[in-house]
Formats: sequence, C-alpha cells, structure tokens
Amino acid sequence: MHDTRDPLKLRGLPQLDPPGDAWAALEARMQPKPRRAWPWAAAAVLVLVLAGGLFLDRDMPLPDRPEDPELAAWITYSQVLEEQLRSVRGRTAAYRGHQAVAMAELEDMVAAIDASLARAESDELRLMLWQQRALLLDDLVAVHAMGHLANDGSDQPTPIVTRIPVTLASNSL
Amino acid sequence: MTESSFAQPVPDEWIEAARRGERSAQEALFRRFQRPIYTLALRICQNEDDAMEVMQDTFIKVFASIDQFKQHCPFWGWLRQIAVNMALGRLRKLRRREFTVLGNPPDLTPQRPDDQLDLAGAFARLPAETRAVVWLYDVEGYSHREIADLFGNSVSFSKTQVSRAHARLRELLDGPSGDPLCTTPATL
Repeated sequence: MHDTRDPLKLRGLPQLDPPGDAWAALEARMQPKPRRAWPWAAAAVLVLVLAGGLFLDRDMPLPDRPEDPELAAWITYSQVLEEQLRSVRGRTAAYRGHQAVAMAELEDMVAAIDASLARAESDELRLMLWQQRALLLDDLVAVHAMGHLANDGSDQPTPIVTRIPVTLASNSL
Repeated sequence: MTESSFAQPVPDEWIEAARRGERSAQEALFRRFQRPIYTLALRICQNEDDAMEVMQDTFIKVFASIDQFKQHCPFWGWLRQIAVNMALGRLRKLRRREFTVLGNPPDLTPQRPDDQLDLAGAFARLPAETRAVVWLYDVEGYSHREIADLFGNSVSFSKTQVSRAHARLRELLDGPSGDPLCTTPATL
C-alpha cells in the first residue's frame, strides 16, 4: 500500500526544549501551598455542609490524621463529596449515554487514585492525590446532578452541587 | 517508518520508584520525556506558555495516576496518550477563549510577501485543529481511526484534515503567488 504519511517531512522538524529549568518549575508547581489554599478549602467545605445540610459520615474509615492542614482539608472535602454522591445516586433512575460514560470514567479514575493513595509514601504525593480525588469527585457530583435535574425537571430540586472555587483547584495543583 | 520521538525505553525500576512517589525517579522520567512532550505541545498549541502548561499537566497526571499504567504496554505510549489528551484539551480551551474573548485570533506575523515560508512557519499557519490532526498522523503515527476517536469525529474528518493540510503546506512552501498568507513567521 502506498504510504502517504508525512510527505512533507514534518518529522524532520527539530525537537524543542522547554525554556529555563523546566524540572524546577514543575517541582515548584507540585509543592503543597498550605497556607494559601487552606482558608478556601475550609470555606468550601463549610459552604457544602451548610448548603446541602450534610454531616460527615462517622462510619467512613478515616485516613491517618494528617498534620498538614491543607491535606486535612482536601480529605474532609473529599468525604463531603462522597456523602453528596451517596445522596444523589439514589435519586436518578437513568442517565443519558454520555453521562453514564463520563461517570464510569470518573469513577475509574477515582479508583485508580485510591489505589495510588494506598501505596503513596510521601506527603507531597498524598496531597496531590487527595487534591485530584476531590476534584474528580466534584466533577462526578456535577455529572450526577445534571442527570438528576434532567430526570426530575418538574420538581424544585435541592441544590445538590456547590462547586469548589476554581481558584482553589488551580492554585493547589 | 521512523518511530515517534516518544518511543524511548524506561527501566521498570524507575516506574516502581515513581509509583512510590520518589522524586528522583519522577525527575528521571521527566528528563527522558520533556522534549517530546514539549515539542508535541508547542507544535500543536504554537505558544510557549501553553506548551509549558501542557507539559506540566501531563507529568502531574502521569505521576498521580501511574498505578493505572499496565506494564505490558510501553510506558511511552501511555504517557504520550496523556500528553496528546492534554494538548487537545488545551486547544479546546484556547478555542473557547478565542471565541469568547478575542474573536478571531490576531495574525501577528510580519508581512513579508517576498519571502518563502519554511516548513515550521508554514505548519504554524495551519488552523489549530488541522495542525493537531496532521501532527498526530504524520509525526506520531496515529491512525485515522485513532484520530477520529480523539476528536469525537469521523474517519473521513481525519482524512480530509490531513489531505487539506498537505495541500495547504505545499501551497505555502511553494512561495509567493500573491497569497497574503505567504509571510515569514517566527521559526520555532
């Protein structure tokens, strides 16, 4: 078969190096920034609890109590979102195809992060994983909420999603 | 056919150490793959800041989800897929920004109609989506089916984009013909 791939030799273009010390830049971005993010995380958790009338599930197995307040906040936030999920899951009978696919993908990613968390040996990695977990759960709640609203348009639905401020997510990851 | 520049071996010990969160292993992986990821991102996004963010986002995701990597596949293929997804995600974000904030993207290329474009310059002048498709097909060796899936579109979409890109590149590289697009862009 005649190969029409790359007739203009784009592969011949040079490889490019990122400017500056790219590893240092990445490392800096992966560093936890507890002082800056903590008040936002606390506020986000509080808003969630108040808006949804939720209480933390006391039976939920807790990880070791972290010293780092930011890590503690992300863990708490993650638990609140799980509670939200439990609450919305029972309300919706069916989802549209793309919603079901999105939920399955998000749940797979959360499961993968849980597996990573079980093996994580550094606090830095734990923090990064808990952040990602919470953000994925946040998305998962949002997808469930869309399904709930679409299926239950006649009722006045309880506000079940309060998104964490974008600044928190982008500052901390 | 030459393999992708991503196709580099990675010792299993690096992956295991990275799974344990060891920074030295993460750095080793970073140093091995920073160039292909940055190159892919910059060729697709055509902006250094965006390329840098795509590269960082890729590594953050790789390190966070390295447990998902299955050893029976080459590590580079798994990592490249994450990089491609990140770059295309960035492209979508840029497009939204262009439409919502800027309108059409400004053409900042100096007008020098007497010069012929070089390949990098001509490539940079392709529409963003076309650029991404032709890069994935020509350089990274993706199939039309794989590209169609990535873009949520049909196989014929991919074929058409590649065909149009080749025609447009030839047109741009063949030199001035009164076409206002025949200008000299910054060469990356």
